[in-house]
Amino acid sequence: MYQQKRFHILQYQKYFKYALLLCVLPMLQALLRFDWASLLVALTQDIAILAACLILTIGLFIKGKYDYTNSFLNIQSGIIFTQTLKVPLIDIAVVETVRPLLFRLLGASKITVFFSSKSALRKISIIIGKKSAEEFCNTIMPVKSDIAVFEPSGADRLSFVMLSINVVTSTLFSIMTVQNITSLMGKEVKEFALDSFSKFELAFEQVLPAGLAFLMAVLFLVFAAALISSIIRTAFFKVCRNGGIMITKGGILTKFERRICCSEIIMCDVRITPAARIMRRYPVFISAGNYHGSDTPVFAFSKNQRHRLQNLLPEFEIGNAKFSVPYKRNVFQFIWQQLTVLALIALSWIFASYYLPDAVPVLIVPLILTLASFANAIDGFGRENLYRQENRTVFAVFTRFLTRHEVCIFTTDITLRTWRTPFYLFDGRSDIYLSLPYRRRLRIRGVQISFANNFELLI
Amino acid sequence: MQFSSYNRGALLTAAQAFAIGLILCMGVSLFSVAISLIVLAIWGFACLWLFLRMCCVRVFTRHGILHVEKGRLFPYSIRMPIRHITGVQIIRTPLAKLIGSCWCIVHTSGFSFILLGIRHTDALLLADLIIHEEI
Repeated sequence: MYQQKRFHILQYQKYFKYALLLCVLPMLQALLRFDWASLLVALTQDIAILAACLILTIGLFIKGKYDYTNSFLNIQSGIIFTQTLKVPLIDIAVVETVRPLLFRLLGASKITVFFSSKSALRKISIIIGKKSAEEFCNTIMPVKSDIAVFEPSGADRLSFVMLSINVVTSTLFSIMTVQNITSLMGKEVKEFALDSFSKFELAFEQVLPAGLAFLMAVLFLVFAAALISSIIRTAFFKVCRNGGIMITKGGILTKFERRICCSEIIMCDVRITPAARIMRRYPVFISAGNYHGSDTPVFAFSKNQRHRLQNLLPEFEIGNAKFSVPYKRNVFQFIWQQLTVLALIALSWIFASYYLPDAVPVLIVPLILTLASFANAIDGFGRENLYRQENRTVFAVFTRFLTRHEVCIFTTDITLRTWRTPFYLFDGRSDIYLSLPYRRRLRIRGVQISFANNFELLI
Repeated sequence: MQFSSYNRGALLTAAQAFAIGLILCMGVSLFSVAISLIVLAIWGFACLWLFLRMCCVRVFTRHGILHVEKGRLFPYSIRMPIRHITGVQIIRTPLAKLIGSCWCIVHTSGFSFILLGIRHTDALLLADLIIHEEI
C-alpha cells in the first residue's frame, strides 16, 4: 500500500504573491497621499484578502496529494473542481530537482518531471519536502553510486564557466531588471544605477569615442552579468553515470540535480562557439524526451579527450567534419544573409560619414559580429553534412549565426524533409530538414538530391 | 499502396486565401488604389506559391516508411517511419465536401504536415494503414 503525501506549502506560493500584490498597491497609494482614513480601509481590505488567500491555500493544501506506485505517478489537486493526473512512470525521461535559497531555508524542493517524446504530457512541476524529494527521485530513477565522470576543476573549471555563458538569456534578464528596477526598488535606486553607469561609461570614453564607449559599457556589463550567473550556476558541477541513468548536479545559491534516463536521450549537440574555438574545448549539450537541455552543458572536452565523453555515453560517436566542399554546392546559399547585412552596414557607414561622423565608430561592433558570422558561414559551406555512422546513429553538422553544431542523433524518430527551388534542381542540390521530437529542427543545406533521396531511415 | 490528390484541392485553398486578400484590398483601395493593387499583386504571388507548393501530392508507404511528395516548381518531399506517427486528423470543410476531398493532417512527436485535396476515402484508408501499420 502506497501512502498519499501532501505537497509543500510553497506549492501554493503563487496565490500569496497575487494576494500581496493586491494588498500593497492600495496601501502604497494611501501612504503616498498621507490619507490615514484610506490607509485604515486598505488595511481592513488587506486582512480580508489575506484571510481569503489563507483559506484557499489551506483548502488546496488539504486536498492536494500525490503518490506513486511501481508503475504510476498520481497527482490530485483542486478544491471544488478536482483534477487527478495518472502518469505511467515508464514515460518519464528526466527528473529535475531544483532548490533555490528560499526553498532550502524552508526545507522544500521543486521537482520537474519531463516526459518522453511519445507522451502527451510535456512536463509537470511539484514542490515537496526535501526528504520526500530524495525518496521520490530514488524511487523513480534509483542510483546506487555517484562517482563523477566529469568534474571540472582548475583550468577546466574556468573554461567550463566560459563555455556555459548564455549571453542571450543574460541580456533578456538584464533588460527585464532594468525595466522593473523602478517598481521593485524605487526611483532613487534607478537614479543611482544610472549615475553609476554614466561614470562607468566615462571611464570607457577615456580610450574610445563616445558612441562606441556607451555600447562597450553595455556589452561589458551584460558579459559580466552572464559570467557571474555562469559561475554561480556551474559551481560544484559534476556529472555521473550509474546504470542507465546520467546525473548532473551543482550550483551554489540554487542547487540542482538532474537524473536523465539514457535510453531517452535524443541527441548530443557539440556546440563550437567562438569561445570554444578560442579555448579549444567544446561543450556538449544533451536533449532527452521533452527536456531541451540547452541551458547548461553536461560536458566539455578538448580534441584528445573524446574518449572521456564515451565513458558517459558509450553510443556517442562524433564523425568526420573536415572542410571539403561538396560538388556543385553554392557558396551564396550560405553567405547571402551576411552579405546583405554587410551591404547595409556599408551603406550606413557611407551615410554616417557624411551626416553623422560621431556615429561611425558604433558600426564597428555589428561589423565585427557580421564578419564573425560570415567566417562561420564559410566554415559551414565546407563542413555542413549528414550521414549515418557505423553504430547506426546519425551525425549532422550545421552552422547557425556564430556557432557550428556537430550533432549525434540517437533516436530513430526522425522525419526527413527535403525542399528544392528551381535553382537547386538545376544544380542537383536540395536542403534537408530533420525534424526530431519536441519540435527540434536541424537544417543541412546544399546536399546532393540523390544522397537526400537515398538517406536511410531506421524503422 | 499509393495515393494521389486532386490539384483542385490545393487550387481551392489558394483561391480561398486569394479571395480573403481581395476583400481586404478592396477595403484598402478606398484610401489608395495603387497601394492596394501592389499588395494584391504580392498576395497573388504568395497564393500562387502556396498552390505550387501544395499541388501534385503523391503519398505511398514502403518498408515501414511513409513517403510524401508534393509541389510543382518547388518540390517538397517528406519521409517518416510509420511507427513514430502519433495521429492522423481528417478535416472536411463544406467546400472540400463539394469536390469530394478533405484535408488530412499527419502528426508525429516533432512534426505535422497537411495534405490538401486528398480524396476522403483515400484519407480514411491511409489513416487505417498508419494506425494498423499495415505496410
